[in-house]
Amino acid sequence: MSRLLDSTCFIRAARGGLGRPDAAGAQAMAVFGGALYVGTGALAAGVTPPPARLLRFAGETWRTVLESPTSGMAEEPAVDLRLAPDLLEALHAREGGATSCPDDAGYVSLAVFQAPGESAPALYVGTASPAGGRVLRSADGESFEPASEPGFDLPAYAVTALCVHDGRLFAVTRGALDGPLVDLDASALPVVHMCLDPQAGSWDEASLPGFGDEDNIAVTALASFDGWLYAGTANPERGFQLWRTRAQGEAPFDWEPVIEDGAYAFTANHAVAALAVFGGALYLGTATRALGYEEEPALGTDAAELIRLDADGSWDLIAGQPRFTPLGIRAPLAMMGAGFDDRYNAAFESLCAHDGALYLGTRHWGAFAALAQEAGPVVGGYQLWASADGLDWELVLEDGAGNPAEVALASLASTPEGLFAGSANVEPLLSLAAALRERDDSIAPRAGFEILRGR
Amino acid sequence: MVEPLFILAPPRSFTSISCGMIGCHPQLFGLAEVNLFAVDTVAELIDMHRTRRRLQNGILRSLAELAFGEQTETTCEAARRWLNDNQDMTTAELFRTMQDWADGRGLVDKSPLHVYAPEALARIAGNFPQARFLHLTRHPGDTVKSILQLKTEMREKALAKFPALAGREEQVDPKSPETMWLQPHLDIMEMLETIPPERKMRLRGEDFLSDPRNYLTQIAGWLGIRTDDEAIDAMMHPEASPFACLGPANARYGNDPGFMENPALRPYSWKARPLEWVKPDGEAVELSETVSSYGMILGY
Repeated sequence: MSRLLDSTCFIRAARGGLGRPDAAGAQAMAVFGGALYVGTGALAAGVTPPPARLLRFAGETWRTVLESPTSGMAEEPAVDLRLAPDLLEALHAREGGATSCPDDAGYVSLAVFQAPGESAPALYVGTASPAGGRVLRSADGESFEPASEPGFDLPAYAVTALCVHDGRLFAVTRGALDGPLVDLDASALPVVHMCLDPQAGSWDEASLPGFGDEDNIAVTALASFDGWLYAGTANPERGFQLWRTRAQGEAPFDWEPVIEDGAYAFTANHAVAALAVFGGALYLGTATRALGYEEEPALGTDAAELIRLDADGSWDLIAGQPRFTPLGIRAPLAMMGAGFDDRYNAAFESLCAHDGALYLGTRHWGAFAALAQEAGPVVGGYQLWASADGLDWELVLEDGAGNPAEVALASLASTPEGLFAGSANVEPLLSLAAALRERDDSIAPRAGFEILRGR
Repeated sequence: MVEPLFILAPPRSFTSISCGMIGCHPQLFGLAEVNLFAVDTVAELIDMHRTRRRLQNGILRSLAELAFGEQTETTCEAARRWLNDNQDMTTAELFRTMQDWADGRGLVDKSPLHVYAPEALARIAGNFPQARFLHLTRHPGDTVKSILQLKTEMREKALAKFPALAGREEQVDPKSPETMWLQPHLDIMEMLETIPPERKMRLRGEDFLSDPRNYLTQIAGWLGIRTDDEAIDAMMHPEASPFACLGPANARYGNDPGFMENPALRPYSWKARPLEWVKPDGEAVELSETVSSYGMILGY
């Protein structure tokens, strides 16, 4: 019988960006060689980020095993073109003088993979860089070598997902670079990459761009489940799609669609945010177009949904808006609406099975929405939910565990030492938004990512 | 008693045939266009009918059918008098009375005026907390084209009657997609935010008509009424609706003229097409960014 963790089970294993309050995110986690590795950094904000760091947690202490050099390879930071101009201007004013830009802004995906013929698994790191994200490889968790070209020879900002399937390593990129601007909604080339030889850094394209649909502007998530490799997309025209392949034969492989049209919620379900296997099913968390750091998303009030996919390709809505579909009526089996009945949950951003339960971390923009009000408390920030069976969900943590600047749980990892949850922190944006609203006195957000441990 | 169902959509969004189909379920009664909730009281309703006489046809036909089981000049006149005698009633009380007369069947309403007045939607939601809402959609370009086409046809009829109107060119409002499609949908979506998820559903009309049996079964299941073949078969015959034809001489209309002329289900298929609208002169114009964005949210 699994035991669900509740809020009393969690402590902060790290806070304040572990000595770097400007370190905004604990973006990725993996267990390698018996230790927890955490990739930190920001996807893009428009100001010079601190160098990306890879941290190892072992023996109750944190140690930096990799820190991005500042070689001049990245001449200037990438600017998220979705940021509101007034916020961007204020961010630059706050930053002050120019500082050198690190080569890597973030280590944003991690995987442990043992290539055929290798005697032991290696740790793989996906990077985010204005010069093009790439894959790094380490056999010992200490020294790292490039395992791909920057951006796979494209203006691709970040390697945002790595996935091991059937003895092979797959990767996707996100963030289409255009000079200093980066479109984080899109990918420079929305394909699934497959590693042919990690030591030689050679890769092949395992899919057609957008699986043959030009409206699939990015591949956003990967998962291996029941002998299939699954890939979720972002599709701003018709809503996300989920595709799968046996990954057999010559690349690019034959892929088949499993879910289309945002599971018939259309563009309300803009993208697949997270995939995780639990209890013999694949769980899919969706993302709306809300960024999690805007006072009012441009369109509508749609919130994230949770979908359960069985091995035969059939799916059920676990939480979301009831609807008619060509496949029959879909009502949420958890009896909860989109966003787990919270309209500010813009994405179900992380999913992780741990100790017989499934955990889900959200992206929540409630604090920014609260700022838009003239008065009232400014609360909001990520939520952590848990379920023993995938159907009944309980709220474990809310309001960014007390810090409204913690807008999302970007990463979750199951370890023998407990469940680890890494946050995404937007303190500069929240503070500036408060200043622009003359509501500075309403909040005192703390800067830097946090990592919680529950056990 | 089956709770009422309100079909919400801008005009020319397949509401007539949808209401015709759904309302033919043995446990439901599809109304003509009663437009009750555009106003608060029967007195205000009668006042509205004074300036827009055709609007009374739907309520008179509905009352006649519910009260007497037939629509004749006599029963429609009796309905008109009954309305006159009950001017103190609120429109909500009138609707409840009609529910009582429906012998346990759930009323299905698709009145076009309701979506042009946010207060009408609030009136419905406030007075009927157990009601269900079907938000029906149609491609914005097709909706606008259909509305403009109907306007043209009506103008031609008016011209035939009043030749003096000839020569006065009617300008097409470039904001037609905003006013005719977007605003009603925004009002509907805003009102539906206040409705619990289990009592509201959204459906693309194009999907509905492409695979009616599938969606009728889902709708019946959602409403908690019979889903057996006999019930669904009945819904597949909107022409059996008492409002699928012209009414008696003193209440001819009260429903979409196109539907009354040709009410039976016909094979229908559609495929996604660009977010644009075609003006009456044939010029294809891209829809604005806002209309397109909401179009995409609704699946177009």
